[in-house]
Amino acid sequence: MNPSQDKIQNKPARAAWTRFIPALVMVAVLALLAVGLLTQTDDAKSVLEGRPAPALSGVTLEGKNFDAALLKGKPMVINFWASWCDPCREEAPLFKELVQKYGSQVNVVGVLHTETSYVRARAFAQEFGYTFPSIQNDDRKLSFDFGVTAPPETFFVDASGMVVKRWIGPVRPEVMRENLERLGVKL
Amino acid sequence: MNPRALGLTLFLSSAALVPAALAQTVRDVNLDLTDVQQARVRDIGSQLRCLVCQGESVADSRSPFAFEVKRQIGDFLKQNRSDADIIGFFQTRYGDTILLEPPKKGINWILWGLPVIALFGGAALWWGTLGRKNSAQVSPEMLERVEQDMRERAREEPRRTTDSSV
Amino acid sequence: MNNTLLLPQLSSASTIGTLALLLALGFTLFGLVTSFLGGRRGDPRLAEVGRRSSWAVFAFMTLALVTLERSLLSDDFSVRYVAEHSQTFSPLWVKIVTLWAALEGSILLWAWILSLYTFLMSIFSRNDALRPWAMVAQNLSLLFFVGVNLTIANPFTAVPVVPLEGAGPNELLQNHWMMSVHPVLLYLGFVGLSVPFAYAFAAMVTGRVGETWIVQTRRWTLVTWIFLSAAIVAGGYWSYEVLGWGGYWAWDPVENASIIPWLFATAFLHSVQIQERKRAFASWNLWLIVLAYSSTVFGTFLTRSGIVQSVHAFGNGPIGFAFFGFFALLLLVGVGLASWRSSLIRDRSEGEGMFSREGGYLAGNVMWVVFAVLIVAGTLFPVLLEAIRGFKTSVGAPFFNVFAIPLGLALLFFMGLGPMLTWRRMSGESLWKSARWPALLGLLTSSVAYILGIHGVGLLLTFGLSAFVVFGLLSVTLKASLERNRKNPLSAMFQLFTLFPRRYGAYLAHTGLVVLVLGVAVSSAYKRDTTLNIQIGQAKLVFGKLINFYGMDRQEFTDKFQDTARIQYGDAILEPKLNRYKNAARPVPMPAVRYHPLGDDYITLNDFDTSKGQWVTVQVIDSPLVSWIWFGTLIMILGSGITLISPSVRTARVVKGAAQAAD
Repeated sequence: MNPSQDKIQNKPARAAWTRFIPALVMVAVLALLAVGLLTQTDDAKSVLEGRPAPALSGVTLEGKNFDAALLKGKPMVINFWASWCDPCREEAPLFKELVQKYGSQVNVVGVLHTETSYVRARAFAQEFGYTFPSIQNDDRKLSFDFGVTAPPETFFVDASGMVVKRWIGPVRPEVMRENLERLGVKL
Repeated sequence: MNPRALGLTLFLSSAALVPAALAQTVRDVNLDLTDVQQARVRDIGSQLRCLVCQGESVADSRSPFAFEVKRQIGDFLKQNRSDADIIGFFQTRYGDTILLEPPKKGINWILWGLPVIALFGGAALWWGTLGRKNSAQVSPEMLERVEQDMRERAREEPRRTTDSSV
Repeated sequence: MNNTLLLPQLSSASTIGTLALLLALGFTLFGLVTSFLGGRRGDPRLAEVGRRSSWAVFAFMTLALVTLERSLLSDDFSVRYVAEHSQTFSPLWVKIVTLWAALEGSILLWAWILSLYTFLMSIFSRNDALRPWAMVAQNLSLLFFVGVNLTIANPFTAVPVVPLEGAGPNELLQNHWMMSVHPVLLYLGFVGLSVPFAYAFAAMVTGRVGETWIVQTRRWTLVTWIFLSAAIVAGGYWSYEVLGWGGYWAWDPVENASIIPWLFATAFLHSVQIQERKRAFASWNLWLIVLAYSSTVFGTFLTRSGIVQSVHAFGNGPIGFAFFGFFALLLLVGVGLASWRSSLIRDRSEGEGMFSREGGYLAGNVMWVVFAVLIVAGTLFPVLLEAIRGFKTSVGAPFFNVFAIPLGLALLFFMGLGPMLTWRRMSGESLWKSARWPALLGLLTSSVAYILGIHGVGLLLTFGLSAFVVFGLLSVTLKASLERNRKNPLSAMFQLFTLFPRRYGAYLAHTGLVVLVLGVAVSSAYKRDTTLNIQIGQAKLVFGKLINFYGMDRQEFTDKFQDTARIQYGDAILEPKLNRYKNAARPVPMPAVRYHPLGDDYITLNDFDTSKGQWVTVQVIDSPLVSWIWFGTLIMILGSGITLISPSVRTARVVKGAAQAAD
């Protein structure tokens, strides 16, 4: 009799299925990583999309009062910009063109985001021939209400006041076209 | 990261530049707050995510966006709003993505539950590996024989191809 | 993306570099096949050929590394990597470290270190049945890293039109001398885990899953662990000195990725000692090293794939998929082998009681693994959420601290209990007898802390458990000294130190860890910080000290403009700076830190009057006991180093006997 067998107990054999736990965990982790690699999130998706646009009112660069509530019935394009913002310069011609071509179908409003000098802002607007009002937004309330992080950001709002799309970064012509169509504008 | 995200981040970082001369208004944040209030700003800021950064909290980030948020928090504190109120303000406007700590609801329970499950699993593993508590008494002679047996096996072991135990 | 075949005459560096990599890859394949056949057929000549080809791999990788470094130092902008990441006016040390400042170069460094370790392994490892298979494993890793370097992350791609000036490195990577230390230490640690893994692989393939493979790699594991620990804390020190918010750990996904292998490695380091002495936990150790090595690849995957949001992340494109593929392969192979072999291993359970050293070590191990699971969960959860809900999220300190703090305290407890537990079984009463005094002293410490005004539960427990650990070590040492020589315990103690360096080195390392933990706990709990504006000459009171601003200085260097503020804080002058690199958009702050044993003075320059220099906005941080973190790490490293000196006498005899029988 083998003395080492006395009173030495062998571990009871583990249930066969427990062998697969590590493999299952590994597969789960790998699957997760694969999915992570393959998904591309739309960073620009805003919580506002599909919801009514927040109230938009304030004093404009020209010193007049503005209230979007008074402009119901037409879709609106809202552009957050600032004079110090370089990419805003890239998209500025598009907005001038927007007012020129489709100003009758669409309201265009600008909102200054963390603007540091109204002199510079007015110079910017003049340089690019802006004919739409831009709200001063001194207290940054509008920036927060619209969930803006940095300029430029553009919001496309339909005639009923629902936000259809939020675009982060300078607007490109095809982006403008596509979203104007979504607003029901006849190009 | 996907090229679009990279482009976006690079763009946002450059777009957020403020020339130093104009930085005065951006960076002089919350200087009129008391130390206690500044601590609260930091505390709330550490629960919010900087959206133009890569995984930093608003409290730690030096980006203009973070400064704006901190300034707004400071303003709210002067109006005596509560921590929960302030966080809720940003959450409504920016979505859950601005929270640094996933709220304990819905799918997020997976996150909070995993370490707990791991702990229980680990405890079970510990229990199982150690063997059942040996209730039988083992005599010192028995121990002696076992140890001697072990030593013999240690000398023999490399010749075997597997560690088969009896 | 490889242009060198089209325009070899335009860039000799590109050609030489690519050729070197090609040859390294060739010899890797050759070594892989010959080692595999040598192991399979038991043919020593084939195995020897395989072993020697690793020398060729190392030689060619060194050539590649030297070529890239030379291109950097000579501003050879015909090489794309140099054109994109270096510039002519950087100081010498910056050019040197640019080698690993971006994706391709850092992979080259990783591959080179891997080839170095393989070379050392081939020279210093014993000639046994395991070695050919260990070489197979190393060559597999080399195949991947060198292969990536040759294809999707080639640092030697030539530029068709050679620019006159390069783009220069990221401003954060040329700002602090740590850049020359931290990444190298980190890679030495990460890659070092490949050697114990290679031996585990060999053990699983050959079936020799006893302690042979463990004993062979003990020193490797220890040295690797030391590098890894040093690297992680060095990273924390770098953050502390540079980031400006007085913090050293942000639970950033890439930081987490570096600590996961460390957690597994620490668990592994401890449980192999059990296997060495008691031939138990064999399958547990196989799993641990598979997880440890896989997690290094996981870490580098996270950093370079872009699937998580991190300040440290860099890289994009096919790199992520390549690393994912290798990671998947590694896991498949490792988990497959370990599952297969685990069923063949039957650990002999001698009925260890719960109160036994085995039990204590295992409990500690479980804690380390749970800690690792915690961090993996928190790091990957954003990926899950993004996949399901479609928006980006981050998991940060609020989540991690909830679990990390109790886990840390539990680990402290087991660390204290460990030395007092005996092997196999211990009765509750004898445990109480050993642990009685340290436990009571721990309780006393907590009470004193409470009376002194510290009321946070976490902090009180930290103090109490730290005292428990330290007094436990003292009591065990004292007892052993008295047993050895009742009349002269002091000399007996020194004799014990020289006789058992492994044990006492470990005690010292644990003490170092306690110092580190105290530093972390107190600095987190009592950090004070405030931001204020100071006009020139108008002193203010901050944290009980007077602070004053004397003026700004601007200095121009070859690669940057540096604005320095002269600030008097208390009775010393601090000079926080803002570095505006010529190739960068945003300025990088260089906080001024004055280190004291009990607390640092820390000032960051946020903003200043650029027109007249009349005011500054500074952030002042008062951080108690942060130095204990760095100091504790040094003690820990010293202690671990001491354990390298020689194995304990008893094990050496057994192992030598077993080895002689085997040869």
